[in-house]
Amino acid sequence: MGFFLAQILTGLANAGALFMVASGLSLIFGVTRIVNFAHGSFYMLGAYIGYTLMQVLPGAVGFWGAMLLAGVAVGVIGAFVEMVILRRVYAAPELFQLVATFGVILIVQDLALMIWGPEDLLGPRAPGLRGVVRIMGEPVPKYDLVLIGVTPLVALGLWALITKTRFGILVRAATQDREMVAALGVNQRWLFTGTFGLGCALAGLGGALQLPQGGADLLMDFTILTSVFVVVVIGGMGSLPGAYLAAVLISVLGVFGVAYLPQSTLALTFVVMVAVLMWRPFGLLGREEVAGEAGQVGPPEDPIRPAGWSVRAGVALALLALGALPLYGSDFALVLATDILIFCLFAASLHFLLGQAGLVSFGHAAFYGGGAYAAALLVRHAGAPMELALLLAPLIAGLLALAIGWVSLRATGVYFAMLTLAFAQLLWSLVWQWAEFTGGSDGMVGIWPADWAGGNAAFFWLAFVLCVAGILVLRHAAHAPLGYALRAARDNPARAAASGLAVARLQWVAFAFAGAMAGLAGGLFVFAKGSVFPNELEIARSFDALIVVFLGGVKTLSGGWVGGAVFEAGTDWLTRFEYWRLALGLTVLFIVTLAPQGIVGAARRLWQRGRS
Amino acid sequence: MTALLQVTHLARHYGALRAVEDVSFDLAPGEIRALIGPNGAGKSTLFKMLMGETRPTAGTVSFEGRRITGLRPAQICRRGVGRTFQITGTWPSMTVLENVQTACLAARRRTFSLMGYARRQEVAPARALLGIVGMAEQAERPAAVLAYGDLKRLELAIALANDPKLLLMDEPTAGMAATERADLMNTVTGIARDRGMTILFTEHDMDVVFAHAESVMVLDRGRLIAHDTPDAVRADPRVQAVYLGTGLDAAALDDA
Amino acid sequence: MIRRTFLSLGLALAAAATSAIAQDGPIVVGEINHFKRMAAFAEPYRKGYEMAIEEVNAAGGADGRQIEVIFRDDQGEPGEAIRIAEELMTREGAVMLTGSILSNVGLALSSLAAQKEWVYLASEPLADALVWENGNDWTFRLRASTYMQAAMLAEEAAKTDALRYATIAPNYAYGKDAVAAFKEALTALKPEVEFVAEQWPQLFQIDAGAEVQALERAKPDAIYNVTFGPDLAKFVRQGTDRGLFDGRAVFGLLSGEPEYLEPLADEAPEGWVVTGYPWYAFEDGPNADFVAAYTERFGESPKNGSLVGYMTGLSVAAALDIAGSTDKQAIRAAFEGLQVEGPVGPITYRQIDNQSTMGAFVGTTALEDGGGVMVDWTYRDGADYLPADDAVRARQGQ
Repeated sequence: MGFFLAQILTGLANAGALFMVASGLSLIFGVTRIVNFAHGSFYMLGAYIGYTLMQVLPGAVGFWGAMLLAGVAVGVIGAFVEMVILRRVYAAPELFQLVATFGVILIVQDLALMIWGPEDLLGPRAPGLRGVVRIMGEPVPKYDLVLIGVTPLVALGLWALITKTRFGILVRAATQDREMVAALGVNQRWLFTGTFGLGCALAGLGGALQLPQGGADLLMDFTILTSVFVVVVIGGMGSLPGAYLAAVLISVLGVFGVAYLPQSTLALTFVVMVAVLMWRPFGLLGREEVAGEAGQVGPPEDPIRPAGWSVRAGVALALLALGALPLYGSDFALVLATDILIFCLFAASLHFLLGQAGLVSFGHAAFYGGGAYAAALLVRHAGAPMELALLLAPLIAGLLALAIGWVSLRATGVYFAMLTLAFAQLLWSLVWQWAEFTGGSDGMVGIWPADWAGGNAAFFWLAFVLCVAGILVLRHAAHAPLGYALRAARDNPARAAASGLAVARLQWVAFAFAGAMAGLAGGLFVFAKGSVFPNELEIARSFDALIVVFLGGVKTLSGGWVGGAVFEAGTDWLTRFEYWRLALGLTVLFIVTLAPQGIVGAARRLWQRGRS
Repeated sequence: MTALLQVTHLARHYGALRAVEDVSFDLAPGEIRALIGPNGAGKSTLFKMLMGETRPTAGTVSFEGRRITGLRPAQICRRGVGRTFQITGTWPSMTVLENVQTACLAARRRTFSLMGYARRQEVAPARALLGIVGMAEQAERPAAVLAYGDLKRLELAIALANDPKLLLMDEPTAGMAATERADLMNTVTGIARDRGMTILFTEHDMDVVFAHAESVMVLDRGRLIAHDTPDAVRADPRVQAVYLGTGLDAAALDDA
Repeated sequence: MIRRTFLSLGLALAAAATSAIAQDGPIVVGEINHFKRMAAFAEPYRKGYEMAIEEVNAAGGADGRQIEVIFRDDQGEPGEAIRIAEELMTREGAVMLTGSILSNVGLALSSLAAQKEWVYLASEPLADALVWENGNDWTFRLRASTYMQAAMLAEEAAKTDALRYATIAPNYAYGKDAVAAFKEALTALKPEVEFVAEQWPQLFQIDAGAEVQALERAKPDAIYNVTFGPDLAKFVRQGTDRGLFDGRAVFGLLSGEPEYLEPLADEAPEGWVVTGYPWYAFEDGPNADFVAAYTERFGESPKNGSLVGYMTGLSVAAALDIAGSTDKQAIRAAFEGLQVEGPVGPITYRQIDNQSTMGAFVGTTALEDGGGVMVDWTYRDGADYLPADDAVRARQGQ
């Protein structure tokens, strides 16, 4: 009994920082519809700034003051980021802002390394709160009790702010009906800035609050991100009570998981998330999303048309020149070009899903990595030759997408995105955990191409043919009846359904098709590298593709592969520099603010301006 | 005469709110009927149930003698029911012609196809439909730049692509200028008579209702309170009471 | 569209254009590591490596030629590491590869090395599979592996009275290997021990309070800890607060390395038996000389990574010197059985599995001047903690 109680107390204490960070993310999403990938970075900043302030400010007052100040400072930084960067991209297509927040992640990582150095910092202890009290004989750290008490206070304070103040009324109005706020004549800019700042301040406070339990390190921005996403989604995007409920649920479940299922804690939270979303597709206390309010939709794209003969001839020439690379390129040029081609196919497959079907998936790595693992497992366990593995990889990835899509497509918008993320994470934890079969984190090595494709040139040609064919098929699909039907379902699903289009089935097919193409890219990747590791299923891989598609331009036909080529080549070049993350982050922000339509969109605009 | 559409005891409740309650009526083939009622009377909810977008709490809808309650909108469409929306539904990322081509492809059940270029398919039928609604000259323009009245016409062409036996039109002339309204409704009734198509439409503009409907149903607070010829409905004291209670619309009723 | 395609083509061409290597220039060695993602570990390593190369070059280089190391960041991604390896070997003219801390990157590079017949010295990754299950002729490993370090601690554990053991290790290959090796070695020495609890927190996402409660519930006599980094800090703090370590023997793999012990400052645990690197305790001899030179050169104290980096540089120089050419087979042959004299004494790259016999320091943690240190430490030669040749061959699958 005592043990049981102590476990619940531990869970409640853990919920503290998690709630702060999650409520901030939820608030930001509710009002601005920005999915703030950089939220973990603000959490990390809160920890570092809090640490520094605690070194400077004396005594207990200094300690608690430092926590509050850390929150305020991070809030100010957040507001600054919103004003300088995000404001410029509100008019951009749906969810484009997440690319900007990705740039912020990179910049904060390098700045934190520059300022605070590479070593982990151990958080200072809260004055007078070292040690434990005994509750029913079980030791409970004093600071845990503080956390258990403080969290509901912060939650209550937030609740008062949201229900009692004018700012809060506006926040709620914006969360529930965006057009109403515009109609009220409220200065939406400052509402957004204020909300973003407040959300970031909460993240910063969460970071400072966990200092006495842990500390500050350079990896904490990403380690908290997944749990925070899970909490926000389970609670319901935009719902503060939901965030609290979910933070407690996940934390307490986590504690029991540690005690009773110590091997399976990895998968536990994601299983819970999938279960909750299948039962309540909009989270525990979330609200159904009304179509078209998931973000700033932006102006509709121009009608697409197949390329003319001159462009086709040009592309054919360019492909010929690229295909002849082995005749004049170095070994490394071939390897780099192979990597770029594979990444381009991966990006193009996600681009098809986003651009044609309007489905934003946060878990596309499930199919890229799924294809990679399918190929590797076939070679390792079934002794399949490369040719068969490459044939089956897209099929298996497509089947996987059929299964995941069947569940995920019950939700829409951000919830769909989060479900795909959860499934990708489930797959990742399965691969990670089932080491006897998949190699776990040690992956599978020594999976090399067949002899005829073993050389750099031969494999380049193989990748060239398959990737170019894949990209062309994806591109053709946009022009085929399927593409038109998908765009009809995306533009106006009710109209599409009333015209006899099977919207749900169309999206399902698109999801599987994109998944299969990503699987082909994954299969090629394995043979290009000779090995596969769970990295290929990670969230980071899904994000890479997402960033690239937005950078290239969602509302264009070439955005996927152009973004992929530029990003992959740019990263290869930038990583030669000491502070490459800073440089890459700034580059991303530069493109985002300068060309909110993406690289291809901006190029097209320039071209049109030049002609008129 | 067998009914084309048969609605029996249809109801939709949202908690305590009875948006639609015990509505029954038949539609004969070729009929043009208006459904009127003050704001919030339940017209849109009733339409959504007919089209399968909202599930009824009780009652059934039959089309050509077969039950269609519980079917999805796309299935109901394939049975031969077309629909236009109050907020005009078109596909802004396509040209006018492509909008209709896509609807034609859907009617031919070719939407999962990867074969060929969609813009080279169904060109003739799509152009013919655009001709019928008077949009032939705008075929190559992006739908996103169309004027409101033209969007309504385009949507009509889209809805006709399936050659429906019954066309449900939710506020077909809302937001249009008076002359445009008459034009559009003349087009619609002309097509209906040519094709023997049945039409059920909701409308706020009483001029339109009394000029084009053969019969009128009146919905008030979810219940059907009158169903008769336009003249009889206009004279019905219950209908007048309903519209008197809502101010502006009562004046419209008198003017007409 | 045409332009766009030419753009990516142009990038590939630009990459292709510069591929000239001067024959009389320095011998180039390619180092791939996670300098950003694991900065706390990779930076000291890099400094130690650079210092060794500076010393070797000042003394005339290897086989009369200077050595140049090109350091490249792989973002901690195996796929990136493979591509960089290709670039280093084919474009930068590197004659061999070194590096990596993460085992998965090390395994990916070793697989590439075998395929391309390039020499790869895995300096820091600990995975046993690197030289055994997935070992190959072209991969050599410097640092004392998971198995060796676990065996050192098991030897110490067997000397205590503890019979009931609980383990806590991060839930990935390294953690699992470390627990398996400890169990194997301890059970061999003392068959009556039992393992009463196994906890597997997620790497860098430990729920320390819950883990400590779960361990406490099992009432073990002793605890074997494999967590490290921020996980270790949280575990130690919660464990100390909740009295988990009171009256229990604790064995901590790598816990004594300055990388992990120093951040804990005055909260470093006392009385843990750990492997690590007590740089502060050397009074004279080659270890003290290295510490002094390093501190002088960089203005900071060395970490364990510094020593590994330094040994990497010395190993590379020694092999290149013996090889007498930049032919890859010659370098590989030179590494076979290579002997290197370093601060910790002579080490040998074993013929049987290409594992070096570099050992580790084993000692007991204590608090001194507000910081954790290792006391009563001894250096254990790695050669004494490797399995018998038969067992090695079995794990190599022969």
